[in-house]
Amino acid sequence: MDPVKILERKLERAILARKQAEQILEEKALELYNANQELKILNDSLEHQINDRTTQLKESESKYRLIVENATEIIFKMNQKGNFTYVNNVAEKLFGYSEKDIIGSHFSAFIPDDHKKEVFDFYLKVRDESEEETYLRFPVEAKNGDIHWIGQNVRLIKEGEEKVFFAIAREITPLIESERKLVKAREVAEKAQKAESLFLANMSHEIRTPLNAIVGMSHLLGDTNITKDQEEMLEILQSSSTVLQELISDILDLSKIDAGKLEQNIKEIDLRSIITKITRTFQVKLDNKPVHVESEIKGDFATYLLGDGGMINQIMINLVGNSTKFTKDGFVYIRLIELDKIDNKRRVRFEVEDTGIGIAQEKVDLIFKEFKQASSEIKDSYGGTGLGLAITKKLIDLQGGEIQVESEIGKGTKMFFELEFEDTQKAILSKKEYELKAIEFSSKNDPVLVVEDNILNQKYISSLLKKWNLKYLIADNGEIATDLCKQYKFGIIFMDLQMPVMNGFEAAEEIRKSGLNTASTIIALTASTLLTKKNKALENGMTDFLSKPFNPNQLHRVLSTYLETHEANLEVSAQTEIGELSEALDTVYLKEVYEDDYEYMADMFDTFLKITPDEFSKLHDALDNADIVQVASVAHKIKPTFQMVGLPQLTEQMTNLEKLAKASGNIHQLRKLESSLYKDYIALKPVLIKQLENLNCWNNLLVKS
Amino acid sequence: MKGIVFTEFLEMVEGEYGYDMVDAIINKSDLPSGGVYTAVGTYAFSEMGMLLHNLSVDTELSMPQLLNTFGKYLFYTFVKNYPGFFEAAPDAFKFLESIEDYIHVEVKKLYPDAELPTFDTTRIDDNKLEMIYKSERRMADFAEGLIEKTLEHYGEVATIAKENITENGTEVKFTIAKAI
Repeated sequence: MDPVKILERKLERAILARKQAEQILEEKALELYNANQELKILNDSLEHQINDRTTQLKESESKYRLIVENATEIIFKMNQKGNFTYVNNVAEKLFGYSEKDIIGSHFSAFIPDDHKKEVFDFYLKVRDESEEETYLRFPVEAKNGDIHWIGQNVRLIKEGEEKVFFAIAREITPLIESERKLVKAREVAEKAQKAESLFLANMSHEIRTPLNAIVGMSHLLGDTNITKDQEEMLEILQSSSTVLQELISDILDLSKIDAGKLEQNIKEIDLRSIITKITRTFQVKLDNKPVHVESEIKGDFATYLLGDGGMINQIMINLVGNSTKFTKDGFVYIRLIELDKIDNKRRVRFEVEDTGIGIAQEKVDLIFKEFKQASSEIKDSYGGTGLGLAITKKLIDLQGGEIQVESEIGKGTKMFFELEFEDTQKAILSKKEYELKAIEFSSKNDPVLVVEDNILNQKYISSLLKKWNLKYLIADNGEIATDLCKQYKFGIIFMDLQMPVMNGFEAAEEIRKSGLNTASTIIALTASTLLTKKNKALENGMTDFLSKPFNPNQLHRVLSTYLETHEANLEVSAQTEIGELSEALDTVYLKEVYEDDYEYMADMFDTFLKITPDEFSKLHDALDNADIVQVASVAHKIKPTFQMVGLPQLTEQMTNLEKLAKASGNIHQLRKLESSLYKDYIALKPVLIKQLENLNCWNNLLVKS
Repeated sequence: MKGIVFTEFLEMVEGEYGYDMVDAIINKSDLPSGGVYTAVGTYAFSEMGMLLHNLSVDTELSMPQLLNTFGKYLFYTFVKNYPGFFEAAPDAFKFLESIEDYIHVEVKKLYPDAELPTFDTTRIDDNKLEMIYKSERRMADFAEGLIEKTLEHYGEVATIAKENITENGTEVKFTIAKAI
């Protein structure tokens, strides 16, 4: 081995290695330089981006801050415990608290004690029921102690992992104040209206008492011997006072409703009978007018329902009265319709439809206003106070119904409403429940005591008691009454409630305490139709009450309930027993038509006796003049009336006469037929007259127990 | 293979046997690089194989022996050039455990083309560490030399048990147990 050669090779390798290393390092240096350049560019761009982003962020932040800080609403955040974590500067402007006062504090620190719980519950509800957004109004106490109301919308929002309350609130103090003022104004207005109604009610009452005496006394005056002239005057007196009574009663009703004093008197009622009676009443009333009143009852009304029969009666009388008033000729239909029957609830529709003059659509609302009618012409030509429908509407409202009207000018009007009743499921008894008795008071009865300060009323009651052969004493006030009660035992005591010296309540209590009359019957005489007063009377030891004004029948009914009686031994009853109608008449038919409504029957007999002579004279004239057309016409008109008084055979004969007149027109035959018919009529007329007297007599003494 | 391995190897051979031996094994081997190496260059692993083979023939020392010796030699270079890695680890086990997840990661950053073996370590107990060497280069003996020097560096005494997992030596398990 040549050491020189080896050394040369070593040197050569070292040189080559160095060059190689230099080259590699050169390349690496270049790479490094390039990489550095690239890094610098990237760095620059990154810096740029960061700057841009920072600027954007700053802008957007200041934009939002501007919005939040310049908002008129308070904006705040609160953690779930109820401590504020953020609030904008509006809170400071409104309430004076600095941000430092608020942040970290619990919300309850700013709320008056009496509202704390409400607000607490509200936030709990927002948190636990996670409702989308909720609104609450509540007061906040400002730093200076002022109370501000705010209306606040709150939501639960997610902030990182946690949920926090986010709320926007607005000051609503002026709104709350104006609301309060409104409520106060309404209260004042309502109070004023009530005061007015109360005044009306009191006034009406004051007018009613003397009027009651006028009606009563004129009633008694009629029983004395008076001349024909006086009788006519008396009639005017009676009819005028009746009109006045009705008007006052309407005003009283209206004011009582408005004062919220009218209460429903819920009792078991028979709707079918109410409707039937009203129908009959109007059929009789309209006898001279070509208006037919008919009733239609759909559904099952065989059980007693719970309702205020008096109110329904008043409503229906008003509606039917109204319809008949505005219907010149044609029909008035009264309908009672059962709508649903669910368990023991029944929905019932009442309808009154007529073929009258109708109301323009735009006037419909007007007719239910007090003292308003569709037009002044209506008032001039039809009369009326304009109170009837206003009362009707209020009475229906009071029972939870709503009156509705369908009408067309010249065609007619339909008024209807629906009411709900509870069904007692108790079957309505047949008409036999009316026990008919003629009653006389036993002479064994203890005397009657009348405690009443009004002289006219004293006279009215004492005249009646005298008429019925009852002994009596009069006391001007409660004190005199209690003295008398220590000395005498009375069968019945009539006690007025409002009297000087000692009122009825005190007197009744005193009488009950000791003496001879601790167990006597005491009847309160009250002008009040309010149940509360009546109940008070019963609580104070009264046995029963009698509402003023009362008619002789009502007084008689009370007396016969509490005093000993026996059946009357009257002349009339000896001749014909009531219910046993004259055998010359078709009693089966009469009973079927009138059932036991003797008043209505009497009315029909009376009308028949009044109109038939005229009709016969018309018929005779026609026959004399051989006016066959007129014969047929008159015969057609009067033929149904005979049946109504129990003479169907005459109705049949009249029908034959009409047929003959229309068919052959033989005047001789007609005259012959008519004269036989007339002879029968004349023969039967005394029976009818007697029957009418009988009916009138019974009607006067009839007692329904 | 990184150039530093070649330069260190040839330095070691020169130091032990003189440059004559270096010149001899280079001349005997058919080297694409012509035996010119620089620490910053990269050369084919096969060149190292040939150099080792020819050294083994000339010195009559076994390949495992040569590799172990080379490993021990290279350790000093590492300590000299990269003292930070040693300072970071307080004891030998901690250092050995840091090779895979720390040192090799750093090496890859510096030399992205470096081909490194993997060392999976399992601490059996306070005094026993299991280390699994995996590499297609089959240089477990080289690794053993490094491990031995590491223990020495930290002044620790331990036995090293070596066990082939694969027959050809691509996977070898070292069990290092400290003397108590």
